[in-house]
Amino acid sequence: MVEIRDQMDCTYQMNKSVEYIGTCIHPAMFTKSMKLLNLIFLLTVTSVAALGQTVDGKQITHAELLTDADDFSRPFTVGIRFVLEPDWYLYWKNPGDSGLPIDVKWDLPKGWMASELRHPVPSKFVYDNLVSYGYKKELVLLATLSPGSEPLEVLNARLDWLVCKESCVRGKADVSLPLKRNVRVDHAQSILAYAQKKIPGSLSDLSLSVNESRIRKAENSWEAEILLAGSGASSVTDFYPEISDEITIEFSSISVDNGILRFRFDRQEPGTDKANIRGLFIAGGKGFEGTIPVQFTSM
Amino acid sequence: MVKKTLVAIAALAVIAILAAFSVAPEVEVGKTVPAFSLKGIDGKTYSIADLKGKVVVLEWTNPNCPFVQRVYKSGIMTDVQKKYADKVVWLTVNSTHPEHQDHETADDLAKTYKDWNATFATMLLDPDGKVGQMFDAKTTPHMFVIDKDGKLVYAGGIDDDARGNKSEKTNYVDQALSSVLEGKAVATSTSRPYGCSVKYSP
Repeated sequence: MVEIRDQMDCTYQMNKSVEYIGTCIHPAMFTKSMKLLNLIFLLTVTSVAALGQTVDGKQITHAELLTDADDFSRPFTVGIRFVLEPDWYLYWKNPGDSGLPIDVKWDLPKGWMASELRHPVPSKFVYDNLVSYGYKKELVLLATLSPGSEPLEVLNARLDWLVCKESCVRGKADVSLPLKRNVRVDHAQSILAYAQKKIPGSLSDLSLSVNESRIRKAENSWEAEILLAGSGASSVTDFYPEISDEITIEFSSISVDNGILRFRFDRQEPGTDKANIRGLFIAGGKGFEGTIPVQFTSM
Repeated sequence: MVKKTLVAIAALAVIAILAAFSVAPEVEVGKTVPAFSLKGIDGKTYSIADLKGKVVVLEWTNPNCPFVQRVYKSGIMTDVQKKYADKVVWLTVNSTHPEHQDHETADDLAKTYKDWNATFATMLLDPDGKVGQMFDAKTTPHMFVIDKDGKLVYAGGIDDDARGNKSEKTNYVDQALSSVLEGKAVATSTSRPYGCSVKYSP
């Protein structure tokens, strides 16, 4: 038996009755026939186990889709929720020095559209000077689905992830969500509202701006010194960069001190003299999305 | 007595300062790889200096990493190993810490890679991770190509397909070896490596 307790204090016992699991894992599916629930549970959860997500007899990752919407003729929010065994972690869209971001492939009828995934602010893990950005315990990715003219009764998605602790395990799962009125809408609402709070804000939320980017060529790489401005500048403690096609940042070199962000990087395309570095400025445990314009010819 | 003590303290201070600055030189694409030697799973000691005049591939590996398993089982790694078997010296390097759960004995490592039809010359063992850190090897796999003059000409991933689902992928190591054996410059000399972290500590 595997027992899992998540941040919402919800306990899962994977070989107990489906009803017990349903109250915790499939809030959006709970009301309809238990046969359907059982089938969906088997499809979603056992497919994970079948793909090597069991370590020492324990399932380490549980994935589900959920929504608090009841009108599926308009754009609505879907959460992709992962619950992890203690100490295991999933990766952010920039995994860092190693790892792999989560991939979500929606199976949508023609005319339906899915937004880009909205990631909560990750944590930074440093082992042996190698940096990873990711999530422990629980992760809810958000997406907005815009319906087309064709009806869709069940939303399907294929998830692909890497989960690591000391070692890493690759996971894949097909997850489903019936697009019907959910009587446990409060439960889904609380999870999605909690998830929404963890989505990064913007630089203006922190009264922060990039004042000046000083870039210079060092012996083995490039060095950046970014001067931050605004009342929020002094509260910034770190910067989590997104993956860039233009430069490769040495993640372990990133530091912020008194409103100055410093890091080393290599250029990917020597022909380009400008780059925009997107990422999260971390302050007070929250993240704020912003872009740093840099010019390689300037000092 | 006091004088002797002061001299001893001064000597220790000089040693400490020298030690602080004697960090291992960084390995960098375009520069000569610093000398190193490691024991292989066959018990022999291999020195990079002895391989001058030959093109060398260093492949950081850990058989418990799902990325390593995928590139071996799908033939991505073994196809390139076979293609250049008689033209280059292909060495895998295992920097897994002996107390890490992924650590395996030399015999087990040899068996696993034999089962995967690997054709590398040998696997070098780097249990203290010094050579891995000298190369700044971050992932398994992480690939390095060294030319006949001992100069690093490629560092990065085996290919551009971290997720393993691209129908058309670019094998950077294949490209680099093809170029360097023809005496041409390597077009893509760096790429973002992907995989599990190298397990330098328990």
